[in-house]
Amino acid sequence: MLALLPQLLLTGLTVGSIYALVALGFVLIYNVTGFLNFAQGEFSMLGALLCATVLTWHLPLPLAALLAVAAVCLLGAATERLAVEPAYGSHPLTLIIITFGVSMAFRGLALMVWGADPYPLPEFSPGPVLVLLGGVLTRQALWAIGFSIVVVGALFFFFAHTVPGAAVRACADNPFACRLVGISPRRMALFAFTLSAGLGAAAGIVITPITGATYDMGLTLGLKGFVAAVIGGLTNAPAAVVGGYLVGLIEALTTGYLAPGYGSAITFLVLLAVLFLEREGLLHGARRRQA
Amino acid sequence: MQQLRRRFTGIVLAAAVAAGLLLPAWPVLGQGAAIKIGTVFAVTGPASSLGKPEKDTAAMLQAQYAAEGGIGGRPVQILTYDSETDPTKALLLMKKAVSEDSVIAVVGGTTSPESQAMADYAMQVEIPFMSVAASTTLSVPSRMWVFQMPQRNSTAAAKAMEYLVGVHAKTFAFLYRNDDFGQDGLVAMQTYGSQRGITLVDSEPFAAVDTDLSPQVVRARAANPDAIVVWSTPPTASIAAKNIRQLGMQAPILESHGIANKAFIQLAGPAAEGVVFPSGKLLVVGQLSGTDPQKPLLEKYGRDFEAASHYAASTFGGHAFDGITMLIDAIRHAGPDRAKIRDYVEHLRGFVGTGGVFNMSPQDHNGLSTKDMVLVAIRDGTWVIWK
Amino acid sequence: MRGDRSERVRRDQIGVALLVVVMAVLPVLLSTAYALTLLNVIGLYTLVTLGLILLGSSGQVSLGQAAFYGLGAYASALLSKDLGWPPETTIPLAILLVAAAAYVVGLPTLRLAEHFFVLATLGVGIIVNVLMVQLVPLTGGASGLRDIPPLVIAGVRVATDRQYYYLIWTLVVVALILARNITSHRTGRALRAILASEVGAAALGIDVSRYKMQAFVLSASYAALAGAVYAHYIRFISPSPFSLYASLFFLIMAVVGGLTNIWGGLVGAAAVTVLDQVIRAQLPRVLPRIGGEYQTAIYGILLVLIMIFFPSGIVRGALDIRRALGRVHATGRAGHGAAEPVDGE
Repeated sequence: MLALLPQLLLTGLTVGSIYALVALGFVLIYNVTGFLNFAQGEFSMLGALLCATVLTWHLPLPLAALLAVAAVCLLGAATERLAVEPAYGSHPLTLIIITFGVSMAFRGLALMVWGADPYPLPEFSPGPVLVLLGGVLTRQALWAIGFSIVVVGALFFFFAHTVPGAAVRACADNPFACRLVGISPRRMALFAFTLSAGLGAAAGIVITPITGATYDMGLTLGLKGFVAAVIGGLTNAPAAVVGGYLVGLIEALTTGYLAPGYGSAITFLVLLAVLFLEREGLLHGARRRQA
Repeated sequence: MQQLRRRFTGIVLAAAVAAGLLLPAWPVLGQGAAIKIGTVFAVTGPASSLGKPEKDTAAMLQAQYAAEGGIGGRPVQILTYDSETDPTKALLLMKKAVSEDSVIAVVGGTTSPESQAMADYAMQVEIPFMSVAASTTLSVPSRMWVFQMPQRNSTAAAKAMEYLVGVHAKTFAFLYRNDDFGQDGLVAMQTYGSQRGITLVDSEPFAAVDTDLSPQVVRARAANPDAIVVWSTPPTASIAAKNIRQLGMQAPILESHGIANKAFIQLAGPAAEGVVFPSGKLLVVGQLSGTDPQKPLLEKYGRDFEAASHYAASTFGGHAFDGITMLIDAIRHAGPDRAKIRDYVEHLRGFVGTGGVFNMSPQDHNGLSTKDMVLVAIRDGTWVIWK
Repeated sequence: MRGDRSERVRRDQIGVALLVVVMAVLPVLLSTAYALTLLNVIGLYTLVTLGLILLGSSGQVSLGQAAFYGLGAYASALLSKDLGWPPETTIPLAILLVAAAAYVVGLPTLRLAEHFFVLATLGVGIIVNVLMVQLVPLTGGASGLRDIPPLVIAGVRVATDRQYYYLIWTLVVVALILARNITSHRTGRALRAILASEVGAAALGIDVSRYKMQAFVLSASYAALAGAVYAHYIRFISPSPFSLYASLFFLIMAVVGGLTNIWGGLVGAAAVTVLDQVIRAQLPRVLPRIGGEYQTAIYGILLVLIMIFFPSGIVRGALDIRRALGRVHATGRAGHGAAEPVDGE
């Protein structure tokens, strides 16, 4: 049975990188607005499907990806302005349900435009798989893992070392004080939505060569990303990424060693355990934000 | 004050929406008593990749019948409803079709749970029901008012087994999507395998939303099977094929009739090469011999569907096509009467549809056999008849 | 305060009386199988949603309600089908079993803060759904359970849509009265105190965790009752109507109706179900060649609009509009009703 282990670990990393990327989007919006954006997975779906469409215009992949990400950024901004902004100040639950409505709307529109069949994207660097310790890792998985690390690094730098990043953090801590010093929390929310939409879209494009893209991929991606984000404590980007890899590894190991078919049940069991054991999140000691 | 204004905007909007929605249905001029057929498909929800071509086929046929001027001077109206892949909604909509829109027969039930709920109701109110789901239990044992259009899962499994026999496999591993489709396939493949002396050495379920099936594949690999069978639809069907080849397994891959669309090949890429699956003849219509009775019909359906819906026809839309055309044929010959339609369909023999040549009988409300399927192999990114 | 309360009591009494009259007359006007089934489905959803609203009155929100609905359905179906017990005993038994399950789930989860309680119930819902699919020998797996025994009450076999109509709506009226009594008496006051501030309620000597547990178990029991009746009514169950999607829809119904208002259950379930059907029926007539794919999008957009314009639910929205209109007519009474109490009354 030990012979399975290297492959299970590598699979866990592959799947985990997918969850990690989606989790980052959750964390970004939660940090600024204090609520969970159920439409986060839809941004990945839209990015992937838009990219597949733009590719059919015979543009090179990087350009197509860039166009798709830009388009989804606009959609993210539109979501914030049209659906979320008018309801600020309502009960957090109202906002969560609004984002659920947004996700339904995007899903319906995507089904309308792209139909129900899955779409492929080419691998970024086609070639044979890499063999590591008897297990295999696809080149695209390396892209996804690398991308998640780069994004965490970039976000860390942004929040810790730039003025707009500091403003975002300040808004999360104390919106009132922010207004006093001339930072508009609403503009920050718009910014967070735009950025996390773009991030989600990029994540969708990176993972589609592995999974294929369908109009209904958003909900599942969103849920798993969300578990990852919660395990990471919801406010901490590097912890959310670790959470994503943890969820991926748990799923792969339980599927391989315990009971295939129960993968997602066990993921959520872990979520429950994490919630009970440490309400602050497994990897993160900061105080829980009051939503 | 702003709160107040927002509320008023809300009322105005709500009133506008309500007014728009409650507009009475304007009567279609020149239509007396239309002959109505209800169709309930999972246009949205998890089974939408099956339900959408089914609905588009119904729309295409509606346009064709409208152009032809109906049957005996009476227009034909095909009503479509979206069940959202929910059995409760499917049943509710079937009741709507029957009790409010007075349809004469119903086609639909994209997934087996939907079809089961609808079949029970068809039996209760005695209305012909043409199911487009493939679960074997829908027509075994046969039920008076229930007919099944697709080749049963058991028929597909029997056809698939011919491939394992053909490659002299003694053992196989079975990877399946853990829902009614996959669980049905598991039972059928195990049964037919043991009849042919081919042993199931490992079975591995996965979820429709899984993104990597390597854990299942490495477990199957440990059992060292002669062939590996995958029972699912894309994207997981493609992911399975990719993972099997990435992990260096060289065993032949047999998949299910659920991969009978281009999406499988596009997603699986080079891993699709050499994969074999049982299918209706629609995919390989160009390679059928000129004497095949289905050839002209399949060519016409493929052409018409693509012209009307702007994407390639699939076998799923074909099941809806068979259900509707079979009913129209029955209405033409037996008249628009539920019981007469049922009797006519039950004794229909040699009816050429997209799924095969139907030979119905009171004992067999499906009327298809392994002869109506072909084993298709994927070579150079396209479909060829195996052997 | 006193006056408000008696007004509320009177309004509720009038409401119940009105409901009984309307529901007694309705089947005379709407008698097709579709209309009756639609009303039956609304009745069942009202029961499930009422459970959510009882829970909402204690400040908790659940995304696992469909799991209890499904557990009720599977418990009663399996007990009557596999053990051959009569459904009129398996339905109460199923409710007891689910209540016990809810108690066990509630022990650890109710200690979580609201935000994380939602996540925990979501997890419970997904785990229950996976078990329904996975435990094939017991549940029949994804293909579901067929031929569930019909319900027999006092020697009369309940089978038709009309019979179920009267059964289901009688249950709804009883459940509504029960919910009203709970929320307007001692327990209700305790729950409202908890909703306003858990710490404050505890300081007043209210046993917060006991009341929260009561609300949670009761809300699961309402769902289980609806599920058990559903199983014997449709006589076929499969895991799909009890998935996360269903939990989300129940929550939407509760929120659209108003999460802390007992009438919100009825109004929310009716509004969402009817709206869904009306859109599906009318849209193709306004825009020919339209299919279900457009409807999902429109439904999502409508949901957003309702939440923006009527964030406390449409029952509250309607009351506010009436009050606002009254205020426009009689400006002298301005100021009344400007504050928004949290309890939805």
